[in-house]
Formats: sequence, structure tokens, C-alpha cells
Amino acid sequence: MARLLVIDDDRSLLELLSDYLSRAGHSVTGAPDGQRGLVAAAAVGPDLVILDATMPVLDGWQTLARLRTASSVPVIMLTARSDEADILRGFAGGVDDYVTKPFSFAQLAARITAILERRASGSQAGEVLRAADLEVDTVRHRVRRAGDLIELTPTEFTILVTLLRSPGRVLSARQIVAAVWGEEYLDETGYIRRYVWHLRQKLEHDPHAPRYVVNERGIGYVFPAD
Amino acid sequence: MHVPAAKVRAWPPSASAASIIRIARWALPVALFAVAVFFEWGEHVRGDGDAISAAFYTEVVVFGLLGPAAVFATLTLVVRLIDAYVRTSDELAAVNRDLETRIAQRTQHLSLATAQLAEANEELAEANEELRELDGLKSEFVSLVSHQLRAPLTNIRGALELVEGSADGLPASARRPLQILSIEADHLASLVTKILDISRLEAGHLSASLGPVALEPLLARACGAALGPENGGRWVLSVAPGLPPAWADEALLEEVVRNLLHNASVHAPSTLPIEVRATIGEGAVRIAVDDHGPGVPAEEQARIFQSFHRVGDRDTTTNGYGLGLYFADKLVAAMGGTIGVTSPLWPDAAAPGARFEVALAVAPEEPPGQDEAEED
Repeated sequence: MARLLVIDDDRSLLELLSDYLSRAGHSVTGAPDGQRGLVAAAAVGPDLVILDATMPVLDGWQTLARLRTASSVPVIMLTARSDEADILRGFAGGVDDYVTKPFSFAQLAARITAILERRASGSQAGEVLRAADLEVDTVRHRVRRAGDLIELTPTEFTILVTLLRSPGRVLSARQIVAAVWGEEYLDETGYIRRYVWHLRQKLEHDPHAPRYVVNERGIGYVFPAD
Repeated sequence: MHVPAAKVRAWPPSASAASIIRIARWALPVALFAVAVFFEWGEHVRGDGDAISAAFYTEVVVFGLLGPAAVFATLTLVVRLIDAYVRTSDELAAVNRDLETRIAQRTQHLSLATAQLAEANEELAEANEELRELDGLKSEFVSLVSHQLRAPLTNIRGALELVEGSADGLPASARRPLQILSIEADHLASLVTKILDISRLEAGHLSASLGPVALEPLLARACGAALGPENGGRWVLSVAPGLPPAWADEALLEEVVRNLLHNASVHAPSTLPIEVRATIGEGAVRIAVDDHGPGVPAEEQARIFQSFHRVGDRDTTTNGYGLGLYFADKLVAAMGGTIGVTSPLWPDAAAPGARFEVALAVAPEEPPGQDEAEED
């Protein structure tokens, strides 16, 4: 059972969500605006906060900023917009996850559970992989090189993370295919070469002299340990 | 060609000179006759008693009549030529004047037409601007309404989830309506999400993140998600051996394929599988979704990718809003590809079927000799 704080000016949603999450076994406190939400957060000490982005007076982003001055409690943002800019803004402000309205309560409950389990296993730090000047956030699917955001496709991202999780270890094309697409596509190693080439174009300082995705002739690819 | 009147009048001579020629035509022969008679009289009649000889008469006729007659005829011809020339010159001048008048009129008409065209262009530009503004307002309105629908929809779905959690305690007569309510709420939520996605796409907020996309895993995933497991018999997937990756956005392409599969599944009978094929042709990677449905009539094919366009009344029974293909078309265009429909597909009048085909660029290949990292 976790202590949850739901901050939303939609009283119907507050009531329904509190009811649903209580039935799921959580202890739920509701707050109808940002100000009272901050007071409740100080009083209850929640394990997780569910915060509506669009609220009058003190909106979700302002509430989040004040909350972060005193607490690192995980926050799921409820947003009415799914614009990329809002999502990036949310992550930059310390949001752990977000759901876009209209969402299903079951989906929200699953995300709450996932975040709480990650926190409980202490894997928060492990969610961000760092090597050389690269920073790879495996939860939010963000890659930064020397602080600059690098835009990768989901598959390019998965290939990078696969190599990054085993620094210094050479992975064959078949191993990478198995990790990215599954065992049933083991014969499709021809994809990898083209993917790696494009990945290097986006990721490397000099794609002709790669530092992150290095080839071992006749064996495969490696993310160097140093 | 316009010839200046002054040049035309350079010949014949002036009106006074012409008049002199006209007078000379008569005067000169008479004078010549008189001179001839006088000369011949002096030559042939010497005294008062002399008889007038026959030679006198003969020479008077020869020199006094034939000569002046020839001069008269010549001058008559000259006068006629002058008259003809003057007449022709007058006519030419009249034609010139008429031509100038016509040119002036035409120029005026042309100026008027140009002004009208410019005015029409201006009106058209204004109308276009108004249409753009209206379209923007429409998108804004639809987006606003959709945003406003999200909150109550979340609550409706949440309330239904709560009730469904304890549906066992409900009478059987309430369970089915509850189930329908839940399905419709999901459907409405899906519609609102799609409208908002389209709004974002039209506003340029939804951009494609392009990269290589291996099609077989993506298509298998999309088929499984939209039509159930492969062994369910609802779909058949074939991918050409050695097919290169497409140049696309993975998420957007999967959304496109799911839309096409959903479209096929609601229109085609469940007894015949939907065939999905990935091939390469004409320099592009092609994804075709073939169904055994009622097909798309030729007159509908050009409009089927427009928003809110539905083929006949068919979709009223399949809950279509005419947005799936419109959205797919927009997404494919955002990836630099094309989408098209072919129908009929099969020689079956009752179920002619349709093929929706997406063509995408082949992912660029690395230049040869750059990397030899793969396993040998």
C-alpha cells in the first residue's frame, strides 16, 4: 500500500480516481488545487503525487516547481495536451511519467505501480546510463551528448542501449538483432549495418571515426569501456 | 501595316497640279490642233484664190487630229491613274484610321480586362485568405472542443472502470449496457485523440523522426495488435527476401499500418484473411494491405483520403468517422511517402476488395567500404 496524493481541480476526477486507487489498495489524499496540494504534500509525505497540469491560479508546472524545492517524490503529470514541448518541459521539471487525458484508470494504476517498484528496488539511478559525454535516459528515451539532445528513432535507441549496457563487450549482429527484434528475426542481420550507419550519423562527433559504436571486424559492434 | 498618310500623298502631285493636268488634257489637244491647222494652212494655202489641196486635209487629219488625240488619251490615262491613286490612298487612310481606332478600342478593352483580372485575383487572394482563416478557426475550434471533451471523457471512462470492477454484483440486464457504454466511451476517446493528433499534424506540432525501419518486425507487431495473433487466421504477412529498411518514422508508420488494417478489418469479411505484403518496386519500399471487402468505387477513390469522407453509407454500420485514411495520408506525406488505393482487386462482384499501398523511400545505405563490422 502506498500513500498517494492526487492534485486536480476536476472534483469528479478527484473523487473517482481516489475511489479507484483506494480500491487498488492505496491510501489516497485528494487536493483540489496546487496550493492545497502543496500543504497536503507537506502533511502526508506521499510516496507518489499525481498532478494535473492545467489548474487555475497555481498550475501543475508551478506546483511541481515548488514541490521540487522540498521533495524528490515521484510525480505523474496528468496533461490535457500531448505536445512534445509539454512533455520535454515536464521531464526537465522533474516529472517521472505523464499520462494524457483521456486516460484509463487501469493504465494510470499500472504506471503508479511501475514507478513505485522502480523506486523500491533503488533502480532510479540506473535508469540513466552514462558513458563518455553521453547520457542515456532509458525510461524517458532521451539521449544527450555533451548536454545536447540527440534525436534517435526507437530502434536506434534500443541498439545504443543494448551496446551501452555491456560496455567493452563485443556483440555480434545476431545478438543485437535478438535483443532488438527478438529471436525470430535472427536471419535479418543485414538490417544492423544500415541501422548502425544511421545511428553513427546522428550520434558520433565524427561518424567516420566512431567513438561510441565501434566495429570489431568480422565479429560485431562494441561500446568501448573507456 | 500602318503607312503614314503624308507619305502616301507624296505622289501624285498636289491637288492644283492635278487640276492643271485635267485642264491640259483638253486644252493641249485643242492648241495642238489649232497649231497644226495654222501650220498646214500656211504651207498649203498661199493666196486667197488658191484652192485647198487634198494634202492640206490629209496633214490636218494626220497632224491636227491624231497627235492631239494621242496626247488627250495619254493625259486621260494619267488623270485616271491619279484618280485611282487618290481613291486608293483615301481608302488606305480610312483603313489606317479604322485600324488605329480598333487598336485603341482593343487596348482599352485589354486594359479593362487586365484591371478586371487584377481585381478578380485580389478577390481570389482575399477569398483564399478567408478560407485559410476559416480553416484555421475550424482546426482551432475542433481542437478546443476535443480538449474540452477530454476531461469529461476521462471521468466517464474512470467511472465505468470503477463500476466494471464490481460488475459481478450487477444484474445481467445491466452488464451488457455497461459493456456497450464502455466500448462507446473508448471509441469516443479514440476519436478525440485522433482529432487532436490531426490538429497537431496540421499545425506542424507532430513531426516525423525519420530513420531506417525494418518492416517485418513492425508489420508483424502492427498485425498482431490490430488483428490478433498470426495463427488466428485473420492476417497473412509476406515480406520480400532481403527487403531493405524503409526511410520512415517507426511510430507514425505503425500508426498508418494499424489504420489500414483496422479499415480493412471493419469492411472485409472475417472469413477471409487480410493480406499484408512488403516489397520493393520502382525504387520504393511498398507496403500493401489487400482485403476482400466491398471495394472502393472508382468515383470515390480520389476523395477517400479527404477528412470526414466516407464511402457511401457503408461506414454508418462500422462506426467510421472518415478520419483513418485522412490521417494515414497526412502521416505518410509527413514521411515523404505516398499512399494510394486500387479497387477492384478480385474478380468477384460481391467482394471486389481493395488494396491500400504505401510507398516509402528506401533508407539510404552507407557508402561502400566504410564499415565491415558485421559477422562474416
